[in-house]
Amino acid sequence: MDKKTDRAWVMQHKGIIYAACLILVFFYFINMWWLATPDVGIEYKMYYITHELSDWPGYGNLSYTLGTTEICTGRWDKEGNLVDYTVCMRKGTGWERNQDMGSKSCDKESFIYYIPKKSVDSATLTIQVKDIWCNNNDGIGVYVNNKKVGVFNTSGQHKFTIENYEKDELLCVKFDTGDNEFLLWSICLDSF
Amino acid sequence: MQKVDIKRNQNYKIFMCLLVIFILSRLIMAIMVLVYNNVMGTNHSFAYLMNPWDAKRYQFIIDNGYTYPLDTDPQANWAFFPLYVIVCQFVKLLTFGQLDTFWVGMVVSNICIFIGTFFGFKYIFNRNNNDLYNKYYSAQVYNIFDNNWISKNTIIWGSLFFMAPYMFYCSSTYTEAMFIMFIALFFYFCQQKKYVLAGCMSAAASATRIVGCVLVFALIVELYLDFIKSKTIYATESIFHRIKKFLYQIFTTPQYLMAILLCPLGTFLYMTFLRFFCGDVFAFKHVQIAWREDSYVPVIGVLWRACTGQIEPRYTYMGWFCIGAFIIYGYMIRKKYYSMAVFGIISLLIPLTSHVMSTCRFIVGSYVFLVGIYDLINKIKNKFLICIIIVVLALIELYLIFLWYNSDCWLM
Repeated sequence: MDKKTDRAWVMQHKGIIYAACLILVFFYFINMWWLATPDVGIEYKMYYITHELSDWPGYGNLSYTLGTTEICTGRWDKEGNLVDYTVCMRKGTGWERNQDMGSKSCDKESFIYYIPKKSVDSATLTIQVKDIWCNNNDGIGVYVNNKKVGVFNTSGQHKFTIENYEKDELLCVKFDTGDNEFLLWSICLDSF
Repeated sequence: MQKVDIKRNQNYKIFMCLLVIFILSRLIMAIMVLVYNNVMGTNHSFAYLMNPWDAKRYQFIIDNGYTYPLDTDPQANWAFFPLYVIVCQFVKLLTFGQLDTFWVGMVVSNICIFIGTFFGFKYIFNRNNNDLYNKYYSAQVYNIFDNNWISKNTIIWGSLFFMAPYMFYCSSTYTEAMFIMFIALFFYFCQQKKYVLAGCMSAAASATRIVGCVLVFALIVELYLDFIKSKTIYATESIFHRIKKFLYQIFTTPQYLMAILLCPLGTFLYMTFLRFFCGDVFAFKHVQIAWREDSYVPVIGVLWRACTGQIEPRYTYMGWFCIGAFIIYGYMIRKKYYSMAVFGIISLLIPLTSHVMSTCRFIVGSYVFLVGIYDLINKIKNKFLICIIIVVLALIELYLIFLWYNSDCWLM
């Protein structure tokens, strides 16, 4: 087709071309709407979109069976082999990347998230602290869903009592470290 | 009907000349496999050495399609755009699944880079033709391009696209070759003023790599330049009025509007697929967190940290490579390659919002950088000096091929 016939064809089919343009615009707007409303699971949202999780737990793996003690190392040992114990892959922000010896806090606040599979009236949060570096006497405050449940300033095992929580709802454990640091080895949430 | 002597046809000459350089370059790559195996004491195949890192991911997607991330590996393969994969799957289907996936990927890449190089040269040929026509409008400029002109320029052009540093990516199971082909075709169709076709090429590029969407800016620049040439613009008219007139022309010329709207279509189609596959249309972007989580001040901060050696030495090198690319783009603006320079600059700014990682590959794979280099080399009158430059570039490429076969981290 030469330029003249080309132009003539366009003029004849002007309406169709505009309609196609409108369809494209509509299609792009639908995608923009989908962009604003992602239809994803909570693990996906917290790891890939909001970056609240520092490790990828896998689909559905924020769910937690009460009484499971999780070790706060990475999935792999120094030789690159998968470890054979249950690893805590529910850590949020505020932890160092290197987790060979446990998880060391590296910010003023460090988070761990749970989605309990059962509703409980009261429960115990047990943590095993491998090491602690305190620069003041405040210690490290422990909060569950923004409610203070206790403080610790020594290494070793610490237990905190938590009031009722609902199943399938996000439970956020926050360590308010301030200027202090600690090395968490294991963590367990259990009912009384 | 008049009998056409095909050997006199310019396309045929260009095609044959490029083909010779192409075959030579691939022979050299094959010889490098022997060299590598001898030096390193290994016995790896050509396909194995040519396809490390992401090539293995493409191989997996070609064979298995997109998959969800494993519990142990968040690096989901939906970070990789689908068009190259679809074409490879189709080619593999043509061989009844018999051809090894790496070979399928390499065949597709090599065909793409050849097509891209051919049409890229046609663009250069036409551009020079127009320049001369504007300069000597009474001359029969088509006759100016004799065999010597074609030979000299195809050798420079072919050497750059088949043997310049980092062009080995275009021979492996990577998207670089296909991306270059669509960009080359995009600029070729823009030059022919076939804007809807150019929009289609951009759509295909945006289905190959996200940066393909940026071609929309190049298209707008092309349309604006066309508008300036074709309309009577008064010197006294303000830029505001010109833009208003230009926008009016865009909206009243349906094919221009269509061309612009087509540009990002490939990416949006992939986004729609992702919505139904994993629920997140931006999954290809969100998944990047699984590869890197360094956050610096975008562009300036990233370049500053890289160039001042605050991160690994290879990134210092890449930082300076980016600076060099910006200089080339500046040169291209001076030489009136406006749309190409705009595309090159924006496509480089995008990766620089996070890191300088892999930017050498991105820069060379953006096609327009090589056009700038070609223009620079072409300015040199001394043929001997041109030969030396081509040989030096080819030697650097040989060294990089060796590093590639060795999966060296300096290429990451």
